[in-house]
Amino acid sequence: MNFSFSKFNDIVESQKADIVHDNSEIIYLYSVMYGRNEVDQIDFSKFSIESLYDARDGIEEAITHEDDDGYVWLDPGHSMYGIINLQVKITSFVNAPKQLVASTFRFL
Amino acid sequence: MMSYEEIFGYQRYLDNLGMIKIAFDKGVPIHLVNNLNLYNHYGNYDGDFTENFLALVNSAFDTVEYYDDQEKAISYWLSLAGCSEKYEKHLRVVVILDTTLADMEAVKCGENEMTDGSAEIYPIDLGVIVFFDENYGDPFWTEILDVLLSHREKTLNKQQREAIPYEMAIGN
Repeated sequence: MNFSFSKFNDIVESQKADIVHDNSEIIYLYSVMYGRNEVDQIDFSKFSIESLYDARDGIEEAITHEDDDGYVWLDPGHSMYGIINLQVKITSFVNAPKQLVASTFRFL
Repeated sequence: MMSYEEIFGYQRYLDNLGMIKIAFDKGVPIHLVNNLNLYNHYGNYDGDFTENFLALVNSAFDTVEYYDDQEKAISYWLSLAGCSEKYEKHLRVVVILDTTLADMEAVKCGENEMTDGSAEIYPIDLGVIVFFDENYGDPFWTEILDVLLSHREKTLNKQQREAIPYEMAIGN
């Protein structure tokens, strides 16, 4: 029986999956951080210490530019921006019914 | 857009969280530890790094004492560790007495890029002392806690390995 390494290599190359970056631990950390969770609200088995260091380094990587007044702008493609944006939207959605619109009718 | 202060706060939050994660991974029952704060009472994110470190070592080791301004006591512990020449006015000392740390060697660790602070660990008879100069700010307590808990883990594993032949002898 002949075994063709080149044919084997072609099949492996054609069927391999792309490398998938699992950012779920970092996203969990950003949501915990932005939500100001207390220790008893955090599941410490959901992330590794390496992910935590990556998340911490990622904060500075997210900054695209800063001004002289001490304000910074974040990269919209960064996962931290996504989490903060999402949380802001959820907060405004939850608070929406409390914002009463002035009625044009006297009896309402 | 957000302020640089908020960014700094996020980093401090993750520093404190990282230290608690190290303790969690090394088997410290963190949910039973009181006084762990990830952000302070003013709503800022900077929970007290030193306070959290002390709360965690208190839970992991037998006896912990913190000396922040008692000059005589600080000099006493330094001389006991054989490093009296290290005495400075703003030195702070954490004394940790625990048999699992008894054979530890002197080490400098916990260099903090954000504050320029660092600490040194020196062995004493039944434990170690950890000292740092407050003028330079907080050391990176996460690394110091990791060093202490790793040594504790190593000693406990060694004790467990040595206990097996003894139990087998009892069984026979």
